Amino acid sequence: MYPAPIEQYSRPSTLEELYSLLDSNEEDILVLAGGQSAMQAVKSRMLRPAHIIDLQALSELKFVTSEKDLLTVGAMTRYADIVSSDSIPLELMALKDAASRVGDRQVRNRGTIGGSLCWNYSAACTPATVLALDGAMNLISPDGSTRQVAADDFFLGPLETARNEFEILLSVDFKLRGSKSGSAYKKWGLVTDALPVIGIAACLHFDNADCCDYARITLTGLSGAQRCLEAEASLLSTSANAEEIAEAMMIVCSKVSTYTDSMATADYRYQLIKTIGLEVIEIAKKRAFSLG
Amino acid sequence: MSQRKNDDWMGTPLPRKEDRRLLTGKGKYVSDIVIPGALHAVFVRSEYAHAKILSIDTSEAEELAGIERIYTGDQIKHLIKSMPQPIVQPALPAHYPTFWPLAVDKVTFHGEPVALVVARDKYVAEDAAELVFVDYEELKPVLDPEEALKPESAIIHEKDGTNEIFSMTFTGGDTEASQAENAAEVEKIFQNAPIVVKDRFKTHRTGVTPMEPRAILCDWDDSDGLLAYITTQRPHIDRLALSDILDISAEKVQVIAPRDQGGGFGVKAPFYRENIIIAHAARDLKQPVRWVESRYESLMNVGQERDQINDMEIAADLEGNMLALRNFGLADNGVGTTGVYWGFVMPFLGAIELPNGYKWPKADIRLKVATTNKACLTPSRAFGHFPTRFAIERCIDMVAHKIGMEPSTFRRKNLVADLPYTSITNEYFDSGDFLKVWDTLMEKANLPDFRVQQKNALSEKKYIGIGFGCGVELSGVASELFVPMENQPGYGAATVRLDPRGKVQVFGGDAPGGQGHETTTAQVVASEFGISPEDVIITTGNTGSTPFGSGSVGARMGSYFISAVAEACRELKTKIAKFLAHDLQLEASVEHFEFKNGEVVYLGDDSQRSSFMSIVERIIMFPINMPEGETGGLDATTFFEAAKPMICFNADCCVVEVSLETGDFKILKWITAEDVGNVINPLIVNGQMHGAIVQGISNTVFEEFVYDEQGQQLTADFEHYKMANAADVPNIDLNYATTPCPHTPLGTRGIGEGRPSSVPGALTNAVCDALKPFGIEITTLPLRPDAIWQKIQDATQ
Repeated sequence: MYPAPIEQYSRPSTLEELYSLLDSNEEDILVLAGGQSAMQAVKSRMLRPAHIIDLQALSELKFVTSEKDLLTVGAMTRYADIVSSDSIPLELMALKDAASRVGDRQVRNRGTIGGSLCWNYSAACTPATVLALDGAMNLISPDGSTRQVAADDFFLGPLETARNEFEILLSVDFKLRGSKSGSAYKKWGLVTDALPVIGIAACLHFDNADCCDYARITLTGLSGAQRCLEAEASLLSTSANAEEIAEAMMIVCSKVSTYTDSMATADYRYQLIKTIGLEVIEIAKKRAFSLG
Repeated sequence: MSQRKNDDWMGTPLPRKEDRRLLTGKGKYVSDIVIPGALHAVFVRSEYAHAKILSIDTSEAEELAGIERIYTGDQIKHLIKSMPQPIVQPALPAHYPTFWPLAVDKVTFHGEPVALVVARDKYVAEDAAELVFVDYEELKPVLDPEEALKPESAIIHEKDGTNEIFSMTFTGGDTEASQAENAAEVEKIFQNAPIVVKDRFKTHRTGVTPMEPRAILCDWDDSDGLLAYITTQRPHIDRLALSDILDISAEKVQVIAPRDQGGGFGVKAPFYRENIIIAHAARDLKQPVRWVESRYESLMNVGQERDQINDMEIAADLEGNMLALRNFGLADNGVGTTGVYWGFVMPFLGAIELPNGYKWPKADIRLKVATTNKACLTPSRAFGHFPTRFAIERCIDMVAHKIGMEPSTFRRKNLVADLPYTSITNEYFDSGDFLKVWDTLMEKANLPDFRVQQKNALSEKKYIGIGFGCGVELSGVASELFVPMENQPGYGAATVRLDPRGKVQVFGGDAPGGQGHETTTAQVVASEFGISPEDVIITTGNTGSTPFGSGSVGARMGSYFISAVAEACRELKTKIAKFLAHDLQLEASVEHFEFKNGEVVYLGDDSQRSSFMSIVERIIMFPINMPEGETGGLDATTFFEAAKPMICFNADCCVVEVSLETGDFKILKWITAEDVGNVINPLIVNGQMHGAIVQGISNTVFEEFVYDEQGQQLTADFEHYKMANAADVPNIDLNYATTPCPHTPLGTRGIGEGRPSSVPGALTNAVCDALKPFGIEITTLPLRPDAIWQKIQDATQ
């Protein structure tokens, strides 16, 4: 587990320094955030970067700020910082649900939200959560041009995102929907805090009549973060009671295909979708009504 | 320092002497040993489970700067003797495969060493390993042990003409005729028995994963020979094996197992092929060579055990008397190319230990072991009998269910009540009180109360269950068993050396992997001499300075090694007393003196005394005016062999709650009762029990080595090989019901090795008890939520 030859290692401490490094257009650059997945890939030679640009010293990308109806999380914010942040409102609690159960304590102390989103592992917790919360990725190119990409367009498939090779993820924006919105995330793995065999995130909003008028449900563990559009639609204009949620999860099951491996059978994965889905959506609903 | 009475450190929960260094990162492992100019070795390993090697092209790799040498099987097969060699071959009849450290002609499992790259550093070595091109012709892999034994199966080791590496009948005497007669008698009991339960019990491939993987650092000197630092539980055996196989005269081989090793659990007990080629490379290149195994290599090659099918039948009467036991075991050996154990020695012992602590009037127990294209089974704590104990403890519950009796009552009724006892497979149980242990457990478990709670819970649709299991475990391995099983002596050996300052050095040939030998030994020596444990140090694992020991295996510490230490101390005390009596002009011998508080005191008149240090200094440094026939010096080496093989005994009770919706379960309680004999350090004994039970739970539920249908190992990292976290295991309520062992000088027993074996049965029994309303009986491990959920689906739909 020793990496292939690495020509250069850089550790910029300002964004300007970072942009000048990226501007050279050299090949085989690896931009390293927390390094909790990427370094394993480098050590096992799955990745063979010639140049590692380590973002750990970029303290300007470590922040959680909220302004009116917007919460912004810097890309280099660590899981542990998300868990302990006071700025994250109840309606975005899914973020804390996910961050508090990623890996182990060491991973949570080093791993970053930006790293996880850009790596987009097939069984990661963060991409599915950010997708359910309709996060928007703020990307910047070395020439200073910026663009915002919605989560729906950002995650293209396992280990693939819409980020260009030389773009840097600066932060993620989350729009706050105000009262009567709530979110939650939960996963099941064989051991505590394992990568999810099945993970589900949900974000709901209820109107004045306590009817669900906004729903996003996402799934992880099978083939990366994916939305459950038909299930979301089925919850709209309902009160999202247990029966209606169960029906929504039946729809999810009918739309995805599962598989058997050493962790769980294909049938059991469907069962997990049903039970975790019910639990997650009920928690999100409770939070929407500030009940838990 | 903790509380103690009269310098009796026995039973004191002394914090471990080794912990400060280990917990502050100051431990020194093989990887921390620096020899200037040491080269680094990396293995090129087989990507296939079974394939012919057509060619190996090392030319491109050899061109890299920094490469010293690349070895292949073809190059070394004329320079190094093949395995097996007698020193690492049991005295058991088997088809021992012939092999070299690097594959010759063909590869037989995914991960087998094919070539060795030696380079100036590990980076270059790995760069070069990628450039070694091996041309293979794939062969059909043999992966199922039942298929392996069919005549049409491909043969893995062609010279044997069979994939059956080992088979044995353990009951009915030594001749085929007597065994057949016994089998017929057993069959007759089964035909007439009112209750018969028969099922197939499967345990998956799982085992142990020490924190520190394997490592070896070899140095060569033309006049002094080979110096090898090895992560090993048995340095003295490694020394003899390296000497024999590499044709280096034995006095020119020194093996040092570093004082600090990150766990063994059995994985570091075999003699491995990697060690042979690294030592050869150091000799060949006349430079130090180091190999440190990666986690990936470790999970691919070692720590895999348990892989067995047991077709078991129990006959009983309606009153709950066990009448007969029949078991046909089949073990999936893997490839079998591992010295000392060859894979099948574990299932062999597993069959011997299968009857557990129960009185079986009759039994027919047989075993077949099949070679497959998987990594060779390696010893793992609960050596061989984790699978057979799962089968028997599970089957016993199924019989009790059929009789309509509480499984715990059924067990108690059939436990061996009077010891000593010789089991139906001729295993000798020397001492102890099984019923006292069992009753201690039952008192804590409070079964009547639990059954009420269970009933109430059920009315709220909650499914809770209780499960039991027990285990007779080896306390050391007597020569009587060890010589035939592994061609090694079972005695414990220790040197105790006093110095003129009144301090003590102890030397032991076994090599611990974190069990706390430094502390336990110091407590015993301090108790014997009436001094402080701080005044005692121990050297282990260096073949240049320690007496011969077969290794840190089979719970030999609390049984054999510590007994040798105590006897050596007593020999020295006799001499000290003789000198002191002489100097004080007393007619007295050792029983007239007390060693306490750093003094040696004459019991007849306590004004007649000496400080321990002065009398010791006098004997070592001032050897004049001595008792007649005496010489100076205080140094004793003792070899301890117990009169009989020894055991310890334990019992488990666990309570679980099962979710009908997901099949997930939570362990609510884990209660034990233990007979560990006299305790030297309760912290260490508790730690052994906690660790063993956690290992047992983790093996039962989470850990599983998986091969795909091509024989590719799919679980060689911790993302896929799941081990229990702290949050996955329950609090453990340990209880002790001890009987001192009459065959050791301190009344101690060796503990901890076999301890995980009663866990899979107890845990699975609890889950089945919770699901008894559905009549669910689980006979296959791992005990996973998906499998439990499927059983619930099948039972309710």
